[in-house]
Amino acid sequence: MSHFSVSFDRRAGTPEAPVRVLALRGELDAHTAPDFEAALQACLDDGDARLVADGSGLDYVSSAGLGVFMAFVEPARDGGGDLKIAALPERVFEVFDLLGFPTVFDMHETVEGAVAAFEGA
Amino acid sequence: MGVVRGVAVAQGAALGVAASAGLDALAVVSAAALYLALAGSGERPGALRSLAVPFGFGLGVLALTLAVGASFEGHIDPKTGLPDRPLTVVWAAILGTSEAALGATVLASLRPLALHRRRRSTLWTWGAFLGLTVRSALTVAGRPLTVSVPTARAVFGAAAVLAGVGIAIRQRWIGDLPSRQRVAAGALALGLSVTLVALLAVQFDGPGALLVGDGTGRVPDFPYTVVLSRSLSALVLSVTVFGALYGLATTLHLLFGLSAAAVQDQRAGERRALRSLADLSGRVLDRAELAAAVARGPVDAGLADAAWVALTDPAHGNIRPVVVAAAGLPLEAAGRAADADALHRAASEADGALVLAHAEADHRVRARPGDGVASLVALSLGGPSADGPGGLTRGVLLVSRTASDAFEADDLAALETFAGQAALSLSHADLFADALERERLARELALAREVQQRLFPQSLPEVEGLELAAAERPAREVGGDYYDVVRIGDDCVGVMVADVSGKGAPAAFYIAELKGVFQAGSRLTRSPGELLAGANDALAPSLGRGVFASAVYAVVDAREGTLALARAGHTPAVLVRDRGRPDGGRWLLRGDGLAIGLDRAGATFRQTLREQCVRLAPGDTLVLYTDGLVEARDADGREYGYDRLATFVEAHAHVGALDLRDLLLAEHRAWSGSDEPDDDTTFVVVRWSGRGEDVPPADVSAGPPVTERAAFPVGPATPSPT
Repeated sequence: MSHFSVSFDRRAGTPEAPVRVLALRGELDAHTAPDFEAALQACLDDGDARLVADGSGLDYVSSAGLGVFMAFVEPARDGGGDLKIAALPERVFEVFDLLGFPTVFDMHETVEGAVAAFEGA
Repeated sequence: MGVVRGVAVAQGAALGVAASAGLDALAVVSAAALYLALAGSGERPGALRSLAVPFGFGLGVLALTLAVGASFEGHIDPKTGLPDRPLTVVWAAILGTSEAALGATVLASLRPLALHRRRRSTLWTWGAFLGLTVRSALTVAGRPLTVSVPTARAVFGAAAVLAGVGIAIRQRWIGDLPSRQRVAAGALALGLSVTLVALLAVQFDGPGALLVGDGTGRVPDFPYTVVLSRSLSALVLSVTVFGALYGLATTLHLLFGLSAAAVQDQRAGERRALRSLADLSGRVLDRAELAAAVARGPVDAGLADAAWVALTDPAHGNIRPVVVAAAGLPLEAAGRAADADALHRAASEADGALVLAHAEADHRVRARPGDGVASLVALSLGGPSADGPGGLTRGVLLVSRTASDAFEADDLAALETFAGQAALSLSHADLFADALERERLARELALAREVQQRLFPQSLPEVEGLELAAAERPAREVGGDYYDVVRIGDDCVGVMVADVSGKGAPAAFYIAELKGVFQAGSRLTRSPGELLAGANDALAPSLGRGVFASAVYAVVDAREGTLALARAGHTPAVLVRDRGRPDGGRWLLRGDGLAIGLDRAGATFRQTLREQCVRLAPGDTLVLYTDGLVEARDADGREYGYDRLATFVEAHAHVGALDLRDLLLAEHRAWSGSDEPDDDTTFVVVRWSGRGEDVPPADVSAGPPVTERAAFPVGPATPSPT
């Protein structure tokens, strides 16, 4: 049984420049990737392109899950924001790292760090 | 009312012409009201009863008239219109009222027969007949008997008779009469006709006639009804003539089987519709085509003026029925005509057909009067709800006529049979489509697997000093693993192991593309970095959104004893060197490199990529593999992992590449405890046995015996010679 949830009701940043934080939990695989996709799409549809994926609750990520990050980073950047990845557990970070994600994505050890990176930008 | 007039006349009240006309009109309106009351009961008596009731009533009135005529002779003064004595008034009141009631009964009883399988024209004729009859009767309102009949009466009367004949010759109900009732119907119709003719004869030139004048000289006869109202008398006369005519027509139809042909046509139409559907369901298993046939059926069979089909399509996310086919009206108009969703639900809950006799008054019907949807029948095409097994199609067949209340019981029976057959055919089509879809998926899977299998090299090149062995264990679902080995020149081989994200046919086709790039590129360059950069350039544009591939490419020169390797986001290669040597050990070669597709522009890909070079020692063993090998989980959910892999390879490297491959396969199978891995598992073993020469030990104190360099060094461009 794969359990996965994504909640994106948390807002950070300043009222003028809000940052949406998406908290991911459980296993992000081919079955749960569409949920994550829908959440990201909902944010973009709301006009929120400054996004932080809080991966602290992630147990596993498959190539389908990685594909979601890949698919949404460009739209977020095109919308004047970014999709930053934060607080990945070591084992999950290893998967991202092996594929070279840290080169293409802005990855942070903490959510606060990722949010701050938006403010610094 | 008739009695009131009779009493008024009996009292000799001096009535003006206007008052007299008003009373005549009142009499006609009363008779019409009685007809409407009888006809409006909504009851649908059988054909026999429709004939028997007026027949029986007629006999009663005839008997009464004869009895009165036999025992009594009434007179009225033609000038005053006043009867000779009070008893005349009493009889006139009784006879007139009963005749008016008979007229209303005749019309109300024959109405369902006349309007059987109504069309708009039938309704129109019936209305015209009634209207003309009333109008004709009103032309004599308030006129004393001495005043001759106006021409208008003849005109309206003739028109009414024409309309009556038009109604009488159309005896469609006979066709639906069970044959055993035909004799009875004929007898009743003849009886009705004869009774009404007899009643006319008795009233106008027989014992039941009212004598006008003093009983001498030229004496025109009138029915007693005129005492009540001259208009009412005219009305009753017209209706009685119509009843006699209708009864006669019925008798003749039954006698000569005139309706048989029309009935045969109708039955043949129904049979044809059902058969066409049966034929279709045998051959056509396409939903749309079948739906069109279902819509055409009732119209072709003459059961409806228009029909349309609304279906759910759960496979495409349509849980509410959508109009997909229509006959007798445009598809768009059919979609607007009624709330198919509401009718679908109502029809599903109804026992049999859902009949809206007056469709335009129903809130679920959006068609307005004049749109031609005056009566409507909704027939469920299977299933009470959309949550049936396998997401089967549900829907509703809507059938309309341009006249209200136009569907007879046997029409409905035929339509129900038709709808039942249609539902069956549609569910067959669904099942077939389902099977086809599953077969298609299975075929696609088999094809993808075959494509994948053919993309793997059929044999490995043989190069002196080099042992090569490869294995691939496909998962149940076709994954995106790929490996290939090419000979480059006499002494070199290029080895690639790659993994495209995603599964199934798309993955297989990305692999095919990758193979093309690899096969061509390995001949163009000996630089692993350049080959991978080329692969990124070639594949990135065609990879789907969110799809990427990892790859590792190694070039081994068996003569020089060198290895050059680059990694595009792939799992690190395992290199082991004999522990007997001072530089022996095991390493994971993990140079920097992005997965293919991660940087579609390509610049970052090149900038990041590192090439690793190794001066090989004899016995050095390299294992390139996909993540299926290290991510295999044992019963406790523990991943096999890089460390176990490297340790295992080091422990068994001395047995040679082929044996190591077999041992590794057995190890993998044992670890995952399954013959069929969750993920594709692919690996290639390369072992350099050397060519006899000594290789000096490398310094491995700081890590693997590797020299690393950027695949695409950045820096000042080499000045070109001038």
